[in-house]
Order: sequence, then C-alpha cells, then structure tokens
Amino acid sequence: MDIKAYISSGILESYVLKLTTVEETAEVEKNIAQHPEIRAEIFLIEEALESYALEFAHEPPAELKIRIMNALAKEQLSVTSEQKGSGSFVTDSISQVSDDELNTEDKVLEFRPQPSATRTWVAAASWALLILSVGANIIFFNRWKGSEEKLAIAESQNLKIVQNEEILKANYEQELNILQSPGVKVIALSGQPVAPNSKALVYWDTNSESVYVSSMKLPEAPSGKQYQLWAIVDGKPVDAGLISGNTQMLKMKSFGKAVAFAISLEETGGSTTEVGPKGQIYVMGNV
Amino acid sequence: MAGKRRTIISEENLVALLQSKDQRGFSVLYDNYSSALYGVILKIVHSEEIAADVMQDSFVKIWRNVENYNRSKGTLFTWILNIARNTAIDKIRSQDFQNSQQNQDLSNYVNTIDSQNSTSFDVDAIGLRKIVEKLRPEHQQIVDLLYFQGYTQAEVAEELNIPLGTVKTRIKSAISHLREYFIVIVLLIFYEIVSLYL
Repeated sequence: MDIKAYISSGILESYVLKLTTVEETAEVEKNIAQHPEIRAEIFLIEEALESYALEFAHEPPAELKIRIMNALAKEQLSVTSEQKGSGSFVTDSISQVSDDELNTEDKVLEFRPQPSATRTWVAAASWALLILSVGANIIFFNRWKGSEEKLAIAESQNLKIVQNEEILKANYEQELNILQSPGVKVIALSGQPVAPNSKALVYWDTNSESVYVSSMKLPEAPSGKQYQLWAIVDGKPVDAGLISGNTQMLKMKSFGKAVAFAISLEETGGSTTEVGPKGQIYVMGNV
Repeated sequence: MAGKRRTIISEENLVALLQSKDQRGFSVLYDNYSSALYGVILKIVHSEEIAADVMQDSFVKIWRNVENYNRSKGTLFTWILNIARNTAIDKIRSQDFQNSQQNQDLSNYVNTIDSQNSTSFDVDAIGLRKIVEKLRPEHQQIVDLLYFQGYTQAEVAEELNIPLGTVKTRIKSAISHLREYFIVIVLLIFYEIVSLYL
C-alpha cells in the first residue's frame, strides 16, 4: 500500500471527524494497527482539532459538576441493582455524591494529559526560554552589581577630586591675592649643603606685615621631626612658626623687619627664639 | 486546597479508572475537560441551559461506553470531544429543539454567537489577536460545518457546491491549514516572548 497516497487522500481527516462509513472506518482502523505512520498522522489530526476545540473553551456553571456526578452515581446504582438481579435499590452500597464528598476528599487525583507533539514542543521551548531568561537574568544581575560597585568607587573618587580641587583653588586664590597685593616681597629660599635641591618661597607683605611660606620642596620630615621657619632680624634668628603638613601655603608669624629667612629641621614642637635653631638649616634666602 | 494530597495520574491510569467506573476518574475527567467540552457544546447549541443538559448526557454516554474506548485508535480527548459533539448535534437535530428554534437560520445564528463565545483562546494579552485573525484560514468554514453543525460529507458538498468526490481532499486541506495555523500561533507567541528579551 502507498502510505503517502493514503495519508494524502483525506480519509484520515474524515475518520477523525467521524465522517467515514462503517466499511471505511474498519479499513482505517485496520491500517492504523498496521502502519505506525498512519497512527502518527491520526494523532496530528486529532491534535489540530483538539487545539481548535480548545479555542472555544468555556467554563461551565459551578453546580454542573455535582449534577453530573450525581447522574453518574445513579447510573452506577442502576447497573449494580441490575447485576444483583433484584428490583430493589441497594441504597447503602452506593450513596449519592454530595458536594462535600467532591470537594473535601483527602486524596485529590490530578490528571496530566498525554503530551502531544505540539505540546511537547511548546513545553520544550518554554523550558529553553526559561533557562535562557534565568541565564540572562544572572548575567544582567552580575553586570548591574558590578556597575553599582564601580559607580560607588567612581563617585567617591570624584568627591575626593572635587574636594582636592576646591582646596587647591582656595590655595591658589589666596596665593594669587597675596602676590597681587602691593608691597609683597617674594624671597626665594635655596637649598643648603644638607639638601642642595631643596627650595621654598616666602611671601612677605611689608604693608600688613604678614609672612607666608609656599612652594616648599623639602625632603619629607622623619617622624618626630618638623620644619620650622626662622626670620633673621638684627643678625639673630627669630621663630617664625612651625610648618605642619604638606599644605601649599602657610601663614607664618609677622615681623617689622627681617634680612633673611631660613627653614630648619627641628624636633616636633620646634625650638624657641631664645634657644635658636638646633637642627640643620635646609633652605635659606636673603630679602 | 491546603492539606490535600495530590496524586498525578497518567492518561493510561485515568482510562483504567474510567473503565472500572471509578467516580474519582470521572471527577478528574470533568476537572480537566469540562471547559473544553462545554465550550464546544455551547458553540453547537447556543444555550447555557441546553448545554448543561447536553454535558450531563455526554458524561452519561462516556460512562456507559468507556469500555469501548481504545487508546490505540486515538486520544481520550478526541474520543470524549466526539461524544460531546455528537450529543450536541443530535440535540439540535431533535424534534423538540427544532420546534423551539423555528424560523431561526442556524448558520446565521452561528456567526453571531461565535463572536461572543470564541474568546477563550486569549491571545489579546500579547497583542496577537489581529495577526491571528488575518491568518485564520477561510478553510475554517468547512471545519465548522463538519465539526459544529454535524454536516455529512454530502451536505458539505451541497453547501459548498463541490462534487462529493472532492470533499475529502477539501477536508484534508482545511485541517492541514488548521495545523499550520496553530504552529503559526505557537511561533508568534514564541517570537513575542523572545522579543521581550532582546
């Protein structure tokens, strides 16, 4: 038999739709039993019509189930009494199904319809999509978390830069103000034999008698030591203040007159005018 | 539903339960297929009241004839669908139904009711309904005549004005289109879901 021709004749569709004659039905059923391809084709046709029927699915009224289950219980009852061969109803053997029985059974049977080809395919596609989606979610979640961390770092760095910039700006503005005011003398202090490459600048505003030290290039003070500025007045060093931190510019003590300035490395806390510099002079310059 | 023990049973076991006339089997059958059966019945009889009667008659017929069901000949769903369909078609062809529906042109009636009852395959939610409407094959007509109005092949030949000999091939191409139509729907839904992630 030419199975392809048989399948394409349309008889299988008519069979599924119950349109075949008794003879045709018997023939189709015989062929189904003999040829798995025909059986597979029948299932595909059934599936198409089942899907079509499901398009029209409509929830029946809630009470219909009780009514139908009761009708089936009656059916069972009549069969039982027929089998017993007596005309009397055996009412205690099969009771009417009550609402309670239907809804509060301990054991609920659930039925999973046989997976059809399309349903299997849809199920497989759904699983594949679910897995893809979960994977994508994990990837995006990780990326998002990474981005959050990077953003936090960038934000704190940005904040530091802004703060530094403000400090620098304030320092430069201050320095510029000082440099632009009349009567300001700029004294360059140059490196002494201890540290020939060291240098610093002293701004001496003779009008307001303010002294600033700036642009210091000194070796880092070892722990327990601190730089101290001295003014040479009447041939003697006078304490002009301690230099703390790495600040660009420091306002120091004021003087009526000075002929030179110098910076020495002292014990933390510095020395006094009475004692004079005890440590070595690092930079010095004449007014 | 808390506290209830659920047992998943296979179609094979369900058929065994049904064939042993176990009430639980019919309860499970009802829970799984009642809306599909009721929808088809309603599409044929167009009355909730008559549909409920037809549902009951269908379940009684299933009960009485379930021994004759043979899994090798087809799916359980198709078997019970055919019982419900035949019961409903018998109903609309019965004398008392005919009397109550006098002067109603059935096929016109079918079309007006359809739009009210055929929304449960709800693709609206993902905006596909329009595409699907366009794809819905004109072949639907022949399927509807056979499936919901119980036309015989001769009646179809007369209604569609085609020779009886070509009815089978027409049915074949109609159902092939139906198959393609569902595959297209599945693909469209798949495409919609995928596009959500792109």
